[in-house]
Amino acid sequence: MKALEVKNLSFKYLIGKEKVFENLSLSINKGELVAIIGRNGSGKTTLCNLLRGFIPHLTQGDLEGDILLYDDSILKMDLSDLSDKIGYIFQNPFIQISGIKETVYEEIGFGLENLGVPRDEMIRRIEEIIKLLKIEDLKDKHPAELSGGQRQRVAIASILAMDPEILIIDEPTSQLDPKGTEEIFEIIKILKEQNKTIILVEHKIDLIAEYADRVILLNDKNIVFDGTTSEILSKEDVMSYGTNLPQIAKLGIEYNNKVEKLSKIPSVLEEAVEVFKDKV
Amino acid sequence: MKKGIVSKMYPLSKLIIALLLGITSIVVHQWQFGYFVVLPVMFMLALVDGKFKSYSKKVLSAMIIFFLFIFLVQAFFTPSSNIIWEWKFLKLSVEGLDKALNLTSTISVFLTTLLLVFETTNITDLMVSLQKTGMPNSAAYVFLASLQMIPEMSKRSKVIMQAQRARGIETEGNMWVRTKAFFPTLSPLIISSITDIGDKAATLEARAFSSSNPNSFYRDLSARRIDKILPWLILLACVLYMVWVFVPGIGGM
Ligand SMILES: Nc1ncnc2c1ncn2[C@@H]1O[C@H](COP(=O)(O)OP(=O)(O)O)[C@@H](O)[C@H]1O
Ligand SMILES: [Mg+2]
Repeated sequence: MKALEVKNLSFKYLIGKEKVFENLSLSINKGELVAIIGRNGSGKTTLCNLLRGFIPHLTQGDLEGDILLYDDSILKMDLSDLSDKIGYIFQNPFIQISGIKETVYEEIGFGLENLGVPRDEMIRRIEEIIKLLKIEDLKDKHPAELSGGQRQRVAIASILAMDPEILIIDEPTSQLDPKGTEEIFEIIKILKEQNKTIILVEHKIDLIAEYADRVILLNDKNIVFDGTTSEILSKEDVMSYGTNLPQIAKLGIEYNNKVEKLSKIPSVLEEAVEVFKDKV
Repeated sequence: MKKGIVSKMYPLSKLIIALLLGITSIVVHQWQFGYFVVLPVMFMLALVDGKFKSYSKKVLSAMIIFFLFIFLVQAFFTPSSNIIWEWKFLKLSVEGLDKALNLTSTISVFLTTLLLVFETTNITDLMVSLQKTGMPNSAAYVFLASLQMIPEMSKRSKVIMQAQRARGIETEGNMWVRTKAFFPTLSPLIISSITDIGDKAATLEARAFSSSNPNSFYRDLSARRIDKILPWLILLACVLYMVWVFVPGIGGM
């Protein structure tokens, strides 16, 4: 089933000189983990904003085409009806706190208060999320005193508490160290197991290779590649669009070009073992 | 820590009582009300609530700042012929003294009651109690956010100042130097705040801020019976007091 669908979308920001997208189409199935990659400025964040309705509801621009959430046009929906359906985690962790709550615990409850979730249920969900994200140590802290990485985790917690079935996550790990990054991907894995639909913008390509079902590469106002993770992340061409390939895929490509043909370019460790096991 | 009787009171009730007393003081125009009734009662309540020290510090510093000034201006510069005390160009008159006492008494009523309200109330609790009576979310948000923004802004302006200093702009020294240094910090401060506001709209939207559902609240506040009755009792007392003051033959002016 299609959770989100973009139909012949063209978009230009009001103050932009050039279009960001031209006639882009895309559909995302329920339960899929789709990674969006592409060089800086290729429109990843813009696409996320469009899928969440922030564009055009909050940020205007010239827009053609349509964006559907389960067959209903997001363009015609009320923005307030989307908040419990599509969760959005921003690239910049510093803008993500409400700015009015005194503790992380209450910060996580903010969205639930706005949705009018009854207090008992609210507490249950806050506690559950705190446990899931292992942020017990932060719960009594003031949100403004947190580091970037801590804020990012609190932001994720705050959105997950609202329990949306679709999640858009824009570069969640850019402020995090390897351990923090690993923790976020652990959470993403759990969300995937809960059958959430996830749209993830991420630069750390090795992690995409490991976790994503599907990869979409944006470049020059449109999608250049769209396919399963192992299919896209084994293409040498990907590197000519300003994105990296997993180390393993690079090794495979190099080996394939210089040593001998491989049956398949691997993108994760298991595939590599499979491909190389009778070579050595 | 156990809460004192004032701290335990429902925030909205406290606020209403404070305003009732303030209004009464304006209406009756008797300086004794502020100085002999409200002021001692507020200090007593602060004492009972265990907040005496920080409360009296705030009240005194607020009084010293503008209270004394108002009192002196009113007392010595109200034109009149009934001079009771004189020194050089300073003339203290009966009318002047009366006016000064009345004005400062009213101010002290507002000051002492509201300071006690804020001293004994968590501001978020106050907002929640107001929201429950129908104050729009957005109004509560703006209020709370601006309160929290002040330390954030000053932190940010310090960072900008540091950056300016690194670029060789003088930021320390006399008043003039600092003023000159202040203006260049202003535009980055304003611009960064404005872009933050744009982002804030999306951030709040992501948290269902504009949802049409009625809000629920994590803070579990409810007015006890005493919280509901007390404002009415105070109102009754204030009305009786006004009657006593204004109706000839009863108390009477
Ligand atoms: N609010 C905006 N107004 C005008 N132009 C914008 C705005 N946000 C992004 N852009 C432009 O749109 C293009 C895509 O940006 P963005 O979606 O942020 O890319 P990415 O997230 O892939 O780095 C860039 O050229 C950027 O300068
Ligand atoms: Mg981006």
